[in-house]
Amino acid sequence: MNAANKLILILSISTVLFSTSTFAEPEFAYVTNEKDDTISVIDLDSYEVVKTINVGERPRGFVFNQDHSLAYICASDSDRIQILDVATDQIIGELPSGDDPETIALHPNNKIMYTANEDDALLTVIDIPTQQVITQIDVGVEPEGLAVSNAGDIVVATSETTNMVHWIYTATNQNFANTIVGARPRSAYFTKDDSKLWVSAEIGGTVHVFDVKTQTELKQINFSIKGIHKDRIQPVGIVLLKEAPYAFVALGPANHVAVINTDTYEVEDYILVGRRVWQLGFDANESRLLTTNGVSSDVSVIDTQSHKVIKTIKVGRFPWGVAVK
Amino acid sequence: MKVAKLHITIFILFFVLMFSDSHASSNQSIHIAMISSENISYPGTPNHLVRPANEGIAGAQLAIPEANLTGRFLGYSLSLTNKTPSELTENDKIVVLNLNEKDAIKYIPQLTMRFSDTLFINVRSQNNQWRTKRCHLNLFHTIPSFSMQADALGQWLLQRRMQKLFVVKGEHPADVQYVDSIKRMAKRFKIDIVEEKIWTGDFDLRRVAYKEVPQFTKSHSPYNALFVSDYQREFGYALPYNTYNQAPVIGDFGLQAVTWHHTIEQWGALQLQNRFIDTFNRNMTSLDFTAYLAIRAIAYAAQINQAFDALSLSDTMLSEQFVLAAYKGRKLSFRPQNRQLRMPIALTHDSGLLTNAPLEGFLHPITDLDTLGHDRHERCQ
Repeated sequence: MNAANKLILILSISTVLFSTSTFAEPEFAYVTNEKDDTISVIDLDSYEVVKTINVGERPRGFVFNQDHSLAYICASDSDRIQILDVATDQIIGELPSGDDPETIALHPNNKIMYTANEDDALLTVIDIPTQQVITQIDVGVEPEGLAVSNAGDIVVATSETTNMVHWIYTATNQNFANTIVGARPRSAYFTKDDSKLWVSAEIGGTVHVFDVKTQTELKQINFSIKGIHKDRIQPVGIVLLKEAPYAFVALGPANHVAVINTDTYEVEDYILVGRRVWQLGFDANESRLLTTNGVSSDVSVIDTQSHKVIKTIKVGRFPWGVAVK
Repeated sequence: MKVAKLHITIFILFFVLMFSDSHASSNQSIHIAMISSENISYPGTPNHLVRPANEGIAGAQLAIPEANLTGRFLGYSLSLTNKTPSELTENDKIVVLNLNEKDAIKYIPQLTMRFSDTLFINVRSQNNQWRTKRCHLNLFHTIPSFSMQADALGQWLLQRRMQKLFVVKGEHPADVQYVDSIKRMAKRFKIDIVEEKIWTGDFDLRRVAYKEVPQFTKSHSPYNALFVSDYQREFGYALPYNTYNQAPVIGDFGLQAVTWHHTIEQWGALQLQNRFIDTFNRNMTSLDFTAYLAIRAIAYAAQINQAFDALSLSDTMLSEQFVLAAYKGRKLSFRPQNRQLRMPIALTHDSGLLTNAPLEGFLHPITDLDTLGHDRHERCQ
């Protein structure tokens, strides 16, 4: 063994030691199963489902609070948002949500929850400490995607049937702008610096990037995968890496995740995953991306560096939301 | 500093006013008239198969307030008035035709010729001739033709290798049309129709169906599926599980090829089903859905081009921009040659959705949706 090899060995050993000490806390992915009324909890070391938690009917949207002590679950058909105590796996309470909450977004102050009521064309604003609805804001038909800016000043809602992004000031709950996007907009995602908003349009087959200051469209991104008809390319979930200029977009029945360079807006790669890929979530250091695959009822784990699928994990029926703690 | 603040305040105020203005007022009104056939109930139809009195109208009524929710952000509103054919005037520029097959033959040629500047949307007549021999330039269709449904069934038959078909039809003229479409499909897919019979209804089903139907469906050569067209819903329900050969029933009973069904849940369909049931206390039917789609098509055209007269709306509906998202998981658009909305056809039975046609493997140079129904070369006349 020469000196260089020795150095590499020492370095890699110390990397292993360092990473195990940094990530002593095991990571778990929580996946809502829409058709099973359960949450599958995946251990991200062993890639096994270590427990299944019974929750309300038709669970879809899922978020953790900032310190991961609590999780909020949209139990759509139970018409409520359930609060899960992560330490005990018990449902310890619920928030008044209005009818059929599908998605939720938590304000960075941890005190305000936003939920989209698909059947009523409303965005409901909930005060978490008092468990009261503060107000309901009129939005378009079938509101779906929600996102709160990192600074917490703006919340946006996309409406699937109205084909719009509705921009709302969080301070006043005032709808201050409405912009048209492609057909059936789904997810929305603010960039880390809040300068841009990314929105997916499922039936339009496009992703739209908006300038947040002016609410004008900067770019429309199209997709094309060899051998797959363009109608089957249906963008849904969007996530952006914080430290690298890449966005990942789930393409639904095209069964691929697109990798987009956020500087050039070029699609650089398509990653084959399970069937009808739906929502996306990173692990803590963003080295792994998890996808929920609705039709094949599994979760794909992608290495965000190499763009390779490193594991596929069977979960409940119709996995929908995913978040990692 | 104070001045700057004031400027900002004025600026914000300006914005708020600007948007709240477009929010509140609807400057443009789009009036839609709807003509519906009176519901005819046939003496032999069991109660649970009688069509709802407000079928079709209910779908259109559901779509109007939804379209206006979108319209309030963009400054337009839609309204719907029910009319009879004789009440129609030059001022009715957009008309939804909810006519049964007999009324369609009577009124479609007459109205589309007389009001040539009016945009008509047929939501009920499945007669192929409106898409082939007797096209009218101002007539759109949100209901699939009989041939689209027949082709959807044909793809399933072919995929299952069931190439011997027994055909039963009722005595209504629409039954002849559906069966003609099945024959067209059979020719294209090399499916052998081993026998074709008319149900004359000369015995009482309630008493003797169990014994009579196997005799009626006896054939000189074996078949592996039985197609039934029963427009009046008088007898088809007695066929499944009761055929002479062990064969599934397809068509108007058994496995149906339909536009909409209460078993459809994907692509947001469940939300639409829930809204419909909450409003009308019954399931949404295909006819409700096609009427809903007609209003949605108008509203979407208004939204994307912000031009509200019948001619502009018609142009927009035929343009490449027009990709309607309508709970089918596909972009819906109108075929330019005959203004038929292309869409997936659901293959479903009473308690579950089997799949959607076009099935995998049926290809077309433009879109696989065009493997269903009459294609471009079968031009309008």
